[in-house]
Amino acid sequence: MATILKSKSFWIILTTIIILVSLINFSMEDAVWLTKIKDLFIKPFKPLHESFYVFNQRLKTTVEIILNYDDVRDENKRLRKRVAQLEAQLIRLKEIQYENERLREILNFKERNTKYSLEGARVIGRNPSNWFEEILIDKGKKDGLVLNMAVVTAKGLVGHITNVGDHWAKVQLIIDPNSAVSGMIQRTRDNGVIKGVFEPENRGLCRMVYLSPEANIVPGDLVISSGLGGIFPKGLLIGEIIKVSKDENQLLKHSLLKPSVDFERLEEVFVIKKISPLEEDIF
Amino acid sequence: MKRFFINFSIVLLIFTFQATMGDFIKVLGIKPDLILVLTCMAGLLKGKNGGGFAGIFVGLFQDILYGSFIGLNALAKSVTGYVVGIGAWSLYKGNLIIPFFVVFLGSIFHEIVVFCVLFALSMNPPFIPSLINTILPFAFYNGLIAVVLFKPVKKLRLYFVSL
Repeated sequence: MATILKSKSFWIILTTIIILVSLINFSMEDAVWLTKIKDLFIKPFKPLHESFYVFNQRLKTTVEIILNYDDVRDENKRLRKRVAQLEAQLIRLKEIQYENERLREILNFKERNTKYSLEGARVIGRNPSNWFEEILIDKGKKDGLVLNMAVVTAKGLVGHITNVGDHWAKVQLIIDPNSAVSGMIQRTRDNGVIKGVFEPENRGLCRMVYLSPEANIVPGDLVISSGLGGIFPKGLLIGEIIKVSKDENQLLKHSLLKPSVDFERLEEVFVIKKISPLEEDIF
Repeated sequence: MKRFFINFSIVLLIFTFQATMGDFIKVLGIKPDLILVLTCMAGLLKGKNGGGFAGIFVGLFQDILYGSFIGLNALAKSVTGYVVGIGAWSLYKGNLIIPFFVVFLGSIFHEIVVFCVLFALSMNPPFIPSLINTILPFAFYNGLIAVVLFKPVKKLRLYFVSL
């Protein structure tokens, strides 16, 4: 014991561990200084992130399209060359088509939701850890974003802002195991809390918990935000119930739901900056 | 200084690759941690101090860029790099089984440290399901990546040393 206490490396390791544990505590309590440090680092790496992310999305689309052509290529070898030419052309056209569809969706969504003041943003990165589900977007304080603003797409609720810099913001997705959104079954108006799941077999899904045992829920029911908690406006689509079960003690029901947003293919999102005063009264 | 900038550029590239294209290399819902693989290799090739230093450096960088709070990855990766350095530095490095097992065990150790911190912060992820469904496949995947990356990394290191 005395030898260990006299060892220089023991004290270095102990001090490092104490500093890091204190850092975890401090950064959890007050995120302002952490945001400033992050701002300093994220800003220079933003262009690199953006280009990698765009490349990744294009690569995904390309691979998907090439896989669709496998059968054709095997069946007709003589036309292989022609197929390759068409493939290249199709990739370009598909890109234009996807972009067109996305822009049309965005336009429709904006027209349908005049009650919200929306800020469009592009996804430029994702938390690499298996324990968190967070994305980085390219808009920040300078664009009028602040903490806890809800983030949506035309398909439904995405999450909320947990960290915001001058030109970036971090969004905690609703599939993050630490996220909690107050929601309700659209058909029966039963309330519950929507949380992300830890288990990999259900990754990408959410769980609706604290449902009353009398709640009349069936697979296929739609879940919307209830507006409780003040972060998410009422009425945003969250997803669809796919399985309903009861707790072991039969006191509460819980269910598994599939989010309406495809989190694997997030490219553009909207941040809800403001709700028109008239609508706010309703919520 | 020159070597530092070259290493820094490699780390930066791996970070960007992991954060933006991580989903592309996802298998059965599990993303590998290339940064952790790099940390374990530093421990294996450079010993406890090299591993610990690499871990704290890349961990802090990860926390600042992507972390929810600062210190989690720095703590987990520095301790993992250090422990791998103590346990594996003296091992024979000519056989690819060695980096596989070192990174496999290092990944399990790393995830247990992360798990303990999350537990201490009352996030309470379920341990046994996480171990079976997330930690073990994650460690196995990292081990496989280590087998692929070990020789190129070793060669790169030798190249940088000769600069």
